[in-house]
Amino acid sequence: MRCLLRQLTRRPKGVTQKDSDLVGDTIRIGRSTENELYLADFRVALHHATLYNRPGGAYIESGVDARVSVNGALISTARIVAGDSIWLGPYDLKVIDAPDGYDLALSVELVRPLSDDLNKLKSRTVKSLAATGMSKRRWAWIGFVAVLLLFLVLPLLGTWNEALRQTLTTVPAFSERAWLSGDFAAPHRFFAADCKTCHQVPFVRVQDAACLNCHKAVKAHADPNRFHFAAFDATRCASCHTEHQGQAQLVRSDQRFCANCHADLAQKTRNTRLLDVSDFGRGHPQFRPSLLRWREGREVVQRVSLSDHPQEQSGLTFSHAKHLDPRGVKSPKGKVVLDCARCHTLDPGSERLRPIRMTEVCAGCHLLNFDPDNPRRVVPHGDVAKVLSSLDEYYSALALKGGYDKHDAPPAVRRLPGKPLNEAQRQEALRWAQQMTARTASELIDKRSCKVCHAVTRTPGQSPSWRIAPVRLANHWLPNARFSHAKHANTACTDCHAARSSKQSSDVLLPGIGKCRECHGSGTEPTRLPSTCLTCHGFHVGKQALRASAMDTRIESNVLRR
Amino acid sequence: MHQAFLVYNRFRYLKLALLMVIAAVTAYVWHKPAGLPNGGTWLGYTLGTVGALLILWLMWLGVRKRRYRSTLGTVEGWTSAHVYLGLALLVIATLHTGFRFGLNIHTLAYALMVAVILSGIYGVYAYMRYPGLMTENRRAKALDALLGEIAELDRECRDAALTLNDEINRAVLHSSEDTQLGGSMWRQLSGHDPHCATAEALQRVQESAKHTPPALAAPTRRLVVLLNRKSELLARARKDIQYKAYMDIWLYVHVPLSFALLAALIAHIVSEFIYW
Amino acid sequence: MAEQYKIAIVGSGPAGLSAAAHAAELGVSHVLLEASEQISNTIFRYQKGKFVMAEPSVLPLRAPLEFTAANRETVLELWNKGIKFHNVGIRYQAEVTGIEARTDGFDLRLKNGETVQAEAVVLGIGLQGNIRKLGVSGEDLPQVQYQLDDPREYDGETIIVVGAGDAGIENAVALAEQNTVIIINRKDEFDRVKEGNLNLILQHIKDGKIECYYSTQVGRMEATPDAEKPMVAVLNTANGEAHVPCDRLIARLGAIPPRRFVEACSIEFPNNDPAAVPSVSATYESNVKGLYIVGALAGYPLIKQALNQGYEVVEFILGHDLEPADEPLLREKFKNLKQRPSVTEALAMIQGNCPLLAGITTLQLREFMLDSEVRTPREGETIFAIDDYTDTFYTILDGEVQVQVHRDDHRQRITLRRGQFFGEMSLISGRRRSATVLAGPGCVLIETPRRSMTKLIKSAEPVKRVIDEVFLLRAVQSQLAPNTPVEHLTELVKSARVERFAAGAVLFQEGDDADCLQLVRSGSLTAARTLGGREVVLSYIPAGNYVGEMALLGESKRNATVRAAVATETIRLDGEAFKTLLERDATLREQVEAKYQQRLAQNVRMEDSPETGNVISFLVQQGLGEASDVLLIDEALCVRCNNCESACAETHDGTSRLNREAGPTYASVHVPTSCRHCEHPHCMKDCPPDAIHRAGNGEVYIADNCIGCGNCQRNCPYGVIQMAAKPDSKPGLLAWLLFGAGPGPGQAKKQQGKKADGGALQKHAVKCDMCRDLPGGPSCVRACPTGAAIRVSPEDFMSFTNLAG
Repeated sequence: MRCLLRQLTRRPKGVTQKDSDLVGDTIRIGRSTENELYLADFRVALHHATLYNRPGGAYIESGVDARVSVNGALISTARIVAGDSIWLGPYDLKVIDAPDGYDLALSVELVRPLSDDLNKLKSRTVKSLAATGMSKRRWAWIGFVAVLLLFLVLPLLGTWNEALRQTLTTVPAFSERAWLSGDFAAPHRFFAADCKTCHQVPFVRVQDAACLNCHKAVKAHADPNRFHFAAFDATRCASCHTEHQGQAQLVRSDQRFCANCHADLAQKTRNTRLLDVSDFGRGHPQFRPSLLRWREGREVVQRVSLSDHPQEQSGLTFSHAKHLDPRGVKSPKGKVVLDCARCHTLDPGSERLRPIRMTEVCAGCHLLNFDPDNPRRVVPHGDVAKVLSSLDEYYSALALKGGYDKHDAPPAVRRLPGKPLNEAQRQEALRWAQQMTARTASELIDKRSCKVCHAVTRTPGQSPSWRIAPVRLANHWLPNARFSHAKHANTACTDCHAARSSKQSSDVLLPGIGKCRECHGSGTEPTRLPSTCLTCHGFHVGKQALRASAMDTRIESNVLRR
Repeated sequence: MHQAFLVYNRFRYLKLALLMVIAAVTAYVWHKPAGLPNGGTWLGYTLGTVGALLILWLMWLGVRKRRYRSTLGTVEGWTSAHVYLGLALLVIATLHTGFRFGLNIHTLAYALMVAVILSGIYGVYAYMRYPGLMTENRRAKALDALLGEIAELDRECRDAALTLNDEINRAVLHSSEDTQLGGSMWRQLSGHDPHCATAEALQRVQESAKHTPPALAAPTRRLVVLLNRKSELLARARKDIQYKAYMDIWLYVHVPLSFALLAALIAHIVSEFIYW
Repeated sequence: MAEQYKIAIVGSGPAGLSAAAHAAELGVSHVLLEASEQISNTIFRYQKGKFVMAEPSVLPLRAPLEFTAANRETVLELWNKGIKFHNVGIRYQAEVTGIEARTDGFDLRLKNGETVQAEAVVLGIGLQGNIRKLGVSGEDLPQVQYQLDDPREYDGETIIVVGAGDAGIENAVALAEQNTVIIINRKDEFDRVKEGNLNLILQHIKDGKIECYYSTQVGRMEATPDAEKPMVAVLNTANGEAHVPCDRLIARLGAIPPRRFVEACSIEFPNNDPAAVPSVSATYESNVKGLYIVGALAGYPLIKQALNQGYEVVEFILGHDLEPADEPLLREKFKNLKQRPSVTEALAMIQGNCPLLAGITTLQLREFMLDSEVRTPREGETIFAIDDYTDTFYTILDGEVQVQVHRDDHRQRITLRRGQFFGEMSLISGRRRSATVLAGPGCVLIETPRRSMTKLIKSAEPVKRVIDEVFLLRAVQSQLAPNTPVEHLTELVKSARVERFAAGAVLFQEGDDADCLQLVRSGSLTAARTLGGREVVLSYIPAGNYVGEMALLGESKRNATVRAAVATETIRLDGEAFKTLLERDATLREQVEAKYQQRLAQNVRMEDSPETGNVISFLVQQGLGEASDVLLIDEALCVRCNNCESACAETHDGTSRLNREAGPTYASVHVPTSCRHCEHPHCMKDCPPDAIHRAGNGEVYIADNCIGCGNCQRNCPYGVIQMAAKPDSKPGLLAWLLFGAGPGPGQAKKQQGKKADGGALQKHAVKCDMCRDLPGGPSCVRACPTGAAIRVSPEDFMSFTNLAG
């Protein structure tokens, strides 16, 4: 067959064409040079297709596993007529009207030329991370906004909008909770949900008012008027009571806290009676128990250092030694052996010992009876007048009743009971009763009972002629300190209190500071129990509420009267 | 005259950093706060302020580095300082926390800071290690030069394959059309392409090479040589990209986290003082 | 019968045009003969839209033609309008082949055989010369062209490109895009072409995109009207004739320099320097009476100057006495002379006082003074200090100056008096000042920029001779024997002679007999020794140092091979003379001896660490031999962040002057493509407005009066100069950092060579200026985060190269 081949080359400006003839009984198309139509492009198969003539027209036959499509349809063999377009690798063959003398005319055009390798390779190459479109800026913004929004803006809005706050608290991470720098102290947990309970004004430190809402009863430390410490003006509750640090830190207990002022209080303020204290281990003065004294007709409290051998002036006569005699002490029921606990019992719910009451503690042995014939009959304890009247009443009754058959009793008293008395007999009987009363009273007061424990004075012509010295006994020697007997229960009382050797009631059986220091120290000594001021002392010990005007430093309140 | 940024000015900033650290630690040890040590004590506030300022300054490097007219020291000096003061920050900020951590914004800020510093430490390592390797790997050739050679090989491969059978041709086409360099972040970091078109092509060519007619043996061998050379070059180019990625990747952590940190820092400070 | 004119003007360049226009203006009979089809062929051949500048701006324009800075089209249009307006008698395609002086005028013979007669001839043919044609039959066929404006005009054609020069290759490659291109190479290879072009053409030939006929010449061209191709080229190939039908033939055979033609007109040139131009009088008259030369050929490359001269020359021919355009400028120069002379007096005084300038023409002197400055420094004022990088030349017009020859000992001084000159050392060696010069009493100086001085040296032989002699003496004196009395040196200097070496040429071989001492005048050397078969570079010898004393002192053979690192000029001093000098002069002997010891020590060091030597030779291969300050990158530290490029771009109108990635690497030393501030900057060679200068610290920079001609770009062998336009301003840094607004640092939007209004963008040559306007120094170095980028001067190579180990 004879085929006209028109090679088209497209240019920016129009198409250039080159015609040539292909002759052969079949026309092979392919990459290899032996083909009649030789298309040097590696996308074309070695033998891609064959053209041949049959009666009735020209045909194209696809080579083995080469892809030939006519008018878009993959074919193995197809008849081709003018106007058909044959896709063959990157080439487009168009069948055009064959001029005379030609069986077939084809225009060939390379429609998909290979673009430059380097640029294609470059376009396929992603050299750097930046080129992958990753953007630091984007992520930076996301991170920045996210954190700011979740942890600052949302919670902030919450502080203005209660509803939002409520919803937020369901996601603690994004609520004010996220701002929480540490655990609450146990006592504050119950209102911890709302920060505003304490943090009332934004950007303003927690105000004392917030604390005092609950802690109404808190007392001042010292009278601001008498003791003006610049330090206190700046001091807020929160300066000592730091929240959000767990239980541990709610109350300050460190030594410096007190020592700052008390190490040299004298320099800090005038008119204080307090001695300087730096720490318990070394810098603490000897205990100075508060003792009651009687001065120009009134009771005063006097603090005497233990090292000055203070004398109790209680107006009592009592020997701990005698009572604690291991051989026993006389009692109506014979000799009994006593121990401290027999008399001293813990005041339930308090750290203190219960005060000794005669009627409760002593009366067991020290009976106040006076009539051997009627031992059950006792006089009341406490008031001499009452004692006398009770005696008088007792004996008058006996006299008037009669039948009292004592030889020294007058007949009127010895008469048969029930026999009426004449006036003279009555007089006689009552006279006897008075004598008996007087006798028994002096017997009772001066000898048998009162005199045993109390100082008794008698001034004749005065009624009652006996006076019993009042008992002035400090119920609490160290009212400014806390001491829990309960905590020390596992040590015997006498380890600290020298009771067994104490014969005088004037002895102050208070152990000195040395005793405490055997176990307690300032914390620097390894073998001692670290004890700071607040182990024994309180801070808010003042009398009036935190901002009271005047204050009385006397400790009267601690004195028990009888 | 010429020294690495770590050595800059005879370790001036290392010394400065050490000074700061020592000062901070001594202060911390010496300081006896009322409660447990925490950011709220005067020392806490001081360390906190220093830390915050440091963070701002460290982040400013991003600006200074691009303020090319600035005469405020050299960028090398800044980098040196950035590295050492950044490390110092780790200590200072840790002391600021007083070792009290929790599930809150404050610890989040701290965590972010630590993350940033760690990524920075990797950065220093990368900057110390990879430039040398990169130079070695390049053998005094720029990446573009490598690409050029590869493209050149593509052409030669096609020419070599022109006379060979279609299967081989398809393989070669595949190799020159579909070979990729770099690519996704992971691709770049991994430094090789599991589905490298060229490798596949080479394999296929070697397969069919077994049963090529002796006439075509020579061009086939040539093709194999070319493809081998190409994959060797590809490997080098990929290594180059990989090293570059190693040197760049950390910044994609470092910078965004720094900004998250900045936000956390703001939140931390504001929240601290709004509920003072 | 030939036409008769008063003035015949040859060449319609700016000068010719304005001359003709002025003549027309004045109604003087004239003819303007232009060889090509259009006016100002040179300018016409600029590429499309090329921006033409109007330098020097100070000079007033007095031509009858309009001229303002604009793109070439506008300018040409203006002038075409101009010549129409004045109706200038212009004849195109009238190439003048010869000019003969007659008693009363000239005969100008034209190519077409005609003759034109004129009383006076103005020669304004410029330096470009006439395009060399094929010189075979058919060379003027319509499809044969000698230039190519826009390769995209041609498409689907078969085009033959003749000429294997850069122009030819560039055209061929450009055309190959959409044409079948055949390139004809006279030789059997492509030599004397740019590296890039060579690779380009070879690649294209390899790819079969271009067909090349080697060792082939065009025999003849035949028009073939009835064939499908309009013509056929008959080529004489190595193996017989070949007939190649083609649509077009483009011949790029360069141009014939006009010199031969000019000399044929019996005009004399001062010397054989190819760059030399004939010397002309103050009225532009050449040594041939009535034959005037203007424009580039007279040594005035700038359009504005040429235009003015055109005007002036006509005035002169008409015998009008006319104050030259530069008169006011010169008057300004002389105003601070105390005797307040007129310009002519001043010029006379200069020539009277300075023998150096006595020989040159007034016009040269005017030109010279126009560039120079007259300085009257106070006594004791420092004119320049030792190690300054200035390279201006000073002539002492009056009074005297003190030269401190000794670096440390300031009392040692040489006094130079009226008429003498100084500064020629740096001028010639291109290196730092070798001495400090202080002004003496009543000192008046003429300070001349390097370019004007070299121009003068080229064009005035006597000037060159004098300077060379003086240089020789002073070089020997200052480099070798600063405190030896001059009379002792005379013998040595007599023996001295200047030798030139091409890069890589050997001064002397290891093992040669030692018969001389070589003093490096310009360029630099390397000394190497063969160790275990391979050469190890021992040292690098920059200009101003001497070499070869070792063998002389040691009375031994040469112990190293010394090569020129770059094109180098040395002063060869005779060995014997030198030795005798040493015998005479004990102190000198000591000094040389000391240097000798020092060299020995260094050599030993270097032999231990050949690596260092290798780095040096590598650097030298990179042409750093002629560098004065070069940017190097320690690749062991470089993290490829490109901050250096960004820094450069940001501090220099958005175009980076350095390319970090490009450039060779050895060991871990990378030499990026950036300016090395050569001792003799190639870029300075041919800068019409003299916009390229060397500043005090050695940085070579391009001033704002750059006209964007691109000469420097072409002249730079290191490809560190680019033509760039100012980019659009972009938003601030923070805006980018935070919001990615605008292009980031260093990534200025690429300019499309067009302004918004579509007009041609005004491009200027840009190159590294070492950030001379920045207080902190080179921003590339200061912006390097890891300290990898450094700048070193050749002297520092030693200290630097140890990083290569």
